[in-house]
Amino acid sequence: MARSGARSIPARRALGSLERLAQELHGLRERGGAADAIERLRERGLEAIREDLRSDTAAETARIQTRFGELEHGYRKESRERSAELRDARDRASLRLAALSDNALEARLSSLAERGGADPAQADEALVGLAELRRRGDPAFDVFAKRVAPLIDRPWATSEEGRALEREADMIARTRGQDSILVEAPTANGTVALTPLGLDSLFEQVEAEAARAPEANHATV
Amino acid sequence: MRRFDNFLKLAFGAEPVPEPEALADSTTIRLERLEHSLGIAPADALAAQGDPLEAKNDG
Repeated sequence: MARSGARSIPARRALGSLERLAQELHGLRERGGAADAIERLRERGLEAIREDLRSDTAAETARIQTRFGELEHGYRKESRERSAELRDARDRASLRLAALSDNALEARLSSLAERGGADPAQADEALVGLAELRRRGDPAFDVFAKRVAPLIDRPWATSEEGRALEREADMIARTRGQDSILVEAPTANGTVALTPLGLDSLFEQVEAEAARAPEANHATV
Repeated sequence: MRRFDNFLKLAFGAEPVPEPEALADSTTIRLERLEHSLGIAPADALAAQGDPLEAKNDG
């Protein structure tokens, strides 16, 4: 599974391949290889990496969908198996939340939305809390309805694993069909925006990095 | 066999690129340095830009 904080798996694989291609071409140049032969190898290598990125992306997308299906199935199964216990917990939550002040109720909903999680009792509590907000005519109802919607609609996607899968899927979606990797690029107003960068451009930079740090070409892989 | 690994073998007689999770520590560190210098976005950068579901709905 993708670790939180890691680049997408297809992107990481492509980068490893780009770096290796840069190393091999650098070695060939040092051994006096012909420039036109090196250029042909460069193009063939990049084409192979592009094709691997496409197939890795398709495989990773399928893996994410399958895993989401498993998480949803597990969640629904647990909900069925614990139905009596969950009904009692809902009743208790309803009484407990009805006794809270408006501020305390909003704080509890914030906490549930932020924490997320795949425990059906948490989604139930969020739903009960939201109903209580509406009953009171709280003006913040719409804001909280939006914040807890993921926990109510797709609770399995709000667990730690579900969120990591969402991030991975989002990174893939932003580069789909572009033979590119997502990079952080500075914008004119000084902020950083996520932008897809094509493999050809990326490889030019990888080669430049390899030329700046030639010792990396001899590192152990 | 992946296309690039096949290419490496045929063109250079080289070994395949290891899977990311099987990389030696030294290679992982080198690739992370490279990612940093190229500005390749970590997944956390998406979280910093907001909820992925909202981003999808907006886009």
